[in-house]
Amino acid sequence: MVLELYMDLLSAPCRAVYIFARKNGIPFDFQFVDLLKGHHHSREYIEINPLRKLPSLKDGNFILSESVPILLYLCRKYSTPSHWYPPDLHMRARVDEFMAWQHTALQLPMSKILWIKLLIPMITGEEVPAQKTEQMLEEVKNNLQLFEEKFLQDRLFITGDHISLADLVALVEMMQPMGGNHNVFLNSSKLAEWRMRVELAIGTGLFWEAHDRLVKLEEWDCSTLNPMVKERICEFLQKYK
Amino acid sequence: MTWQRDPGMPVPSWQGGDLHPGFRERESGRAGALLIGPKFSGAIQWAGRAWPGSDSPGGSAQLQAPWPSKQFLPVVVPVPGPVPLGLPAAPTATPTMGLELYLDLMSQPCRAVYIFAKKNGIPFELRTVELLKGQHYSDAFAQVNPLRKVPALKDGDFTLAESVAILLYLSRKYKTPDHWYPQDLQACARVDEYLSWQHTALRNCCIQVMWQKMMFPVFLGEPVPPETLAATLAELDRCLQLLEDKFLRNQAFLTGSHISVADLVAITELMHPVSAGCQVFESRPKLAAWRQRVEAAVGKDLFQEAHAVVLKAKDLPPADHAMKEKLRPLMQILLK
Repeated sequence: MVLELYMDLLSAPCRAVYIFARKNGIPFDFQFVDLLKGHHHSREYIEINPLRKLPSLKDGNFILSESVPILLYLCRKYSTPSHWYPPDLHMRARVDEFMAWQHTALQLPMSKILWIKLLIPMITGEEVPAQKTEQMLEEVKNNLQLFEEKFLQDRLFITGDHISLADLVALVEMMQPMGGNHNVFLNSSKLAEWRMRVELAIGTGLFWEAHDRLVKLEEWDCSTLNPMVKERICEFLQKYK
Repeated sequence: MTWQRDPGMPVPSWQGGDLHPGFRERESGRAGALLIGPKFSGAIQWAGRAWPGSDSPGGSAQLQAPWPSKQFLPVVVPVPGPVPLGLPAAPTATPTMGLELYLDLMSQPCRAVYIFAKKNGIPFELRTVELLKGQHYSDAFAQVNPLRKVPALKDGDFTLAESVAILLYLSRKYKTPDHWYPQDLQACARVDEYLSWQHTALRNCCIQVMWQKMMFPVFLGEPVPPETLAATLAELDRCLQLLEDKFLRNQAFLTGSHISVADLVAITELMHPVSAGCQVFESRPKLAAWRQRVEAAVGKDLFQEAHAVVLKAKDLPPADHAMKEKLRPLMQILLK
């Protein structure tokens, strides 16, 4: 039975898993769970992952959620090249350290930019107050600075001379605001250079294929959104006002 | 398996169709709001604060308030400079220095690291970083962890932040018994899964409950609107249900029949609302039984030793006006 990966490439963690699996030639069935259509709430998907989140992995009877464990599982099961999750004690710890930090320091704020810049105005027709936007952008700026100073430093990649899971996860997260035309790489040439290195290490074709759905997000016609659903989204989005 | 696909919708390339699924939706279910997933909602963003205590070192020495250390993010409001208080035994580490663990047992992830190291007989120097006194903002500590958070580890020249990374590092370096972080592919994945999920799930709930139920009314003397507290407790309840249904299920421990680092991280997290007076275990016999097992596996004495500080948090004297003012921006975040 072939490995199944349940994903929507709009989600950064899904892109990390997708790119990793494709790059390493891991055979899998792509099960497209359309976030824009709310398929992650369908009965079929809830059976796979009651947390209703993407990505999920299904390997025979073994089901796994959360992108970080999925990446580690694929590394181990398919014995991918060691630079992805280095065996050296210290280098491996660096990857673990980054993977733990990024949940709240990168993933959440980067998602928020996409919401603030694109999805909230698009769905509700209203802009988020400038002060909130400024606050969010400031937080992201601070975290990117921390990323450069602590995780990247003067190295080519986070662990040194080679790309690892940490770089992959970092980059797909930082790409998320691109869906709203916000480019976090503009302010720092160091970050921009690192971004290019990671893209080249992955392969430009694969990288942009994985990001295609994200960069086209502004073309999404959300006017067909169910009015009741739209109302619920608006309520939910009050938090960001 | 189909996902109620509209027959007019193009089939994605990886299922044999064109490269780009179209965005013209004929019908949609619950959609974009949940694009980023439920963890996007209700996540607490912490503004790290230059901790009170920098103005009046003498006065603040009395207070032993718990301080949620883990999820400090860089401040939105400018921080008024590094806190002048140094570490109690400021180490300019010599190359021969052994393992040092920088901890404050008020913090949940610090307790997990502490218990793990002690249980496995790992020799270390405990460096207490008192969050209350803002010691995590000192220049000395920034040398150890530029993220200015606890726990942090220093092993010779090697420094490491993040409790999950520290636990895994210790398990590998000191070759702790396999059950803590198993070699088996699937067993290991289960531990990884819990360690990943908890960052944005249980962690947030537990901190919010601690602050809204206890720290605000008792320490800060600020009332919390009943509906806010109710919503927070409901969220905690939801997380606990997930903990039982998705992770614990009918197993002895969270990821199988043996204790692992996942159980340590979870139990230390849950002791936060417990110390605030929440009846986390009383209404949940399954979780209560799991707690007993974890305590027994860790050793009751070690467990109580690790939790002595946080369990006394309810006996705090109230904060003075200066401290309350400093905490005001943070309070707004904690009350969301």
